[in-house]
Amino acid sequence: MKNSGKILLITGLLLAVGAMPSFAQALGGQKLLNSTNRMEQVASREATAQQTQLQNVIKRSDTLITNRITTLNTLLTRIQNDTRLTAAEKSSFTSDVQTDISGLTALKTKIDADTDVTTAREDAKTIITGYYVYAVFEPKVRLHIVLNNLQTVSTNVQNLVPQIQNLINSLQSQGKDVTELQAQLNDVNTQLQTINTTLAKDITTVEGITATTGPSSAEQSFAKVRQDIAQLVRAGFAKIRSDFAQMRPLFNKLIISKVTPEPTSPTSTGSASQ
Amino acid sequence: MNEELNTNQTTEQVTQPTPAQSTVKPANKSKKIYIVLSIVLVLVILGGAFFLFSKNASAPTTLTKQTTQPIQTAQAPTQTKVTSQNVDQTLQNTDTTMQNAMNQVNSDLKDISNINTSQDSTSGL
Repeated sequence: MKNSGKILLITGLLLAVGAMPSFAQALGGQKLLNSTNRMEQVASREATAQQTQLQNVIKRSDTLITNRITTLNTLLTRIQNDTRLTAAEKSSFTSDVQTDISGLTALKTKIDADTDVTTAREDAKTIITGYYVYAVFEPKVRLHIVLNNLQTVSTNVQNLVPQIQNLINSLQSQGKDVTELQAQLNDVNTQLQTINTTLAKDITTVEGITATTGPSSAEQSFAKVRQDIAQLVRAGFAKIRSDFAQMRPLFNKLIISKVTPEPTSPTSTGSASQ
Repeated sequence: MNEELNTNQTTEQVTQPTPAQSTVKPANKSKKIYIVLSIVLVLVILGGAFFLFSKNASAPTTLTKQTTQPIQTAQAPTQTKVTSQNVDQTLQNTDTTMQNAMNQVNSDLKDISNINTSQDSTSGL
């Protein structure tokens, strides 16, 4: 009995030892398989995430570009409807706006075709840094329009000055006192000089601003131009209007009035007939 | 001896003109006077012409006061000729033009101040 027990024990041990490699092989392969599966899943999730990010960047970029193009088209409408800009000025402004619209449209096409997130993000930044539509371009164009409009008004007033001067000279040659009128007209000229000098300087400033100027520097320049418009130009035109308001009654008075009473001839009443 | 006579005669001619030569002398004197008078006359004419032209050149001084107005640059011709009949209406129309322009300027400046510049931020991109 003891021998059979020993035989059974040994047999069992042998069987167990013989089965262990099989067990081991089965367990290791599964792990490898699981590991591989997990890696595949991770890679798949990452790829999906990347693709999602790319699509998000593209979608956001499209929105940014669409908003800007809408703003630029509104600006085009403002330009076309302006009544004081010359044809050349309208053409120049329109060309500038359409250049930006074309550039943004081309950028949209590029971004829509991007295949990796990194490139798409860089292109998306270009929507901002290449155009600065809100921080630089739109305020620049709008300020430029304001300055050109003010120049047109100044030119119209300037053209009146020599004619008013001729009228004053004519009244003076009639012996009328034009001192006050001349003083008002002189002030109009002084105001126009200040206005024209300021406008020319500010137009040069605005024209020199581009997207490469950067938002901060551009804003400083815009603030200075707005200050000039408020303090010098608008005040100057207000003074001119005041001068004109004072000139009108003076002209009316001088045009109606006579210089000296006409001398009456003693024979004019018929005494010559005697 | 003859030479001495000639010399004496010559000397006499220098110191005391002979009656025959005295008539020539006045003629020469008259000629000189005419020449001098002619020169004086020419000078008077030239001087007069000089003053005449220089006076014309300085005449615009009276206009200078009027031309102290700023020099008008070449601009498009005005649409309205200002006369005593229309000066009041012209000034009023110009005032209206300026008022309308200022209204537009105010509107434009308001539009500019309403621009949301923060939309040009690259943060988050």
